[in-house]
Amino acid sequence: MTIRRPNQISLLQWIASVILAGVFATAALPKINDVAKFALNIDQYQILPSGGVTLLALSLPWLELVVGLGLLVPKVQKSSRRLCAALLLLFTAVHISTLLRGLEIQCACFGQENSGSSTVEALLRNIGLLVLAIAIIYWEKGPNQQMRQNDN
Amino acid sequence: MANAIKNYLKELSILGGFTTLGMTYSVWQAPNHWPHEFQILAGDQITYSDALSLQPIWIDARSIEAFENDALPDALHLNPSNWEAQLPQLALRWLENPSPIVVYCQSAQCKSSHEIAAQLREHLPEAEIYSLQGGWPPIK
Repeated sequence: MTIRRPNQISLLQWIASVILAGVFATAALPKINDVAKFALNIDQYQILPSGGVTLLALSLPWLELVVGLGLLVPKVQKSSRRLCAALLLLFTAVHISTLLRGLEIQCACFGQENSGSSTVEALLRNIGLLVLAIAIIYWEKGPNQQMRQNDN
Repeated sequence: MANAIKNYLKELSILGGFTTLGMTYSVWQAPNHWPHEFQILAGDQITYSDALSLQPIWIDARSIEAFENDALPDALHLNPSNWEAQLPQLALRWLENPSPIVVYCQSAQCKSSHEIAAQLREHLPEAEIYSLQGGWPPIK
């Protein structure tokens, strides 16, 4: 099995981090600008009571932004990667639950009210991003570590 | 191992701190725009206060048990289980007093008030028919 050189892996990891950071920041900013609209969008999923909707609408966009930017800051990179994967896993579970309950919701994942994507589109996009987030974590410990072991 | 956990906790507290700062900014920035106070109405919805001012004919679309337990005075119980029996009564009441009709169901999430309002529009096309935003909770 061919093991990539660390600098190649670092480059891939960096590119994937930039993509995820861009996606998370792009998703967070419109929601921060209009918390109420985002709350109404969360409410459509019929998962949380109104108090929970308010709290989530206030916290989730900031968490997305902080985690997204954290992917590019070495000091908080490790936790950001794991939080990023956890958030994407959570979003994926919510979209699956929406599909199973037969709800037709336009996901305003990037803040758009009318041009939001369907649940299936959002689910597929989330799965793609989740794979990317898991790959970043894997590259952090996987091939690099294997290489070090091979070197020893 | 202990060091790794310590590092993770340190990183998480930094991320949590920034998130909390951001939330504080959002709360400070829009104190009059709490999401749960926003009332964006769907096409056929009306708020309880607006409905009261119309002195409407109230239609209770909840279960018969909930209706018998507590309901608005003069509300008519109408849902798919007693549709055939109750629809003529509603039509009669509306013909005697053609005021708007407001349908409510159990909660903000229930859909039966929208469905019944839509069916009533087919049977009483001249009537002004709404679904109550929030369902039963704002009434009680």
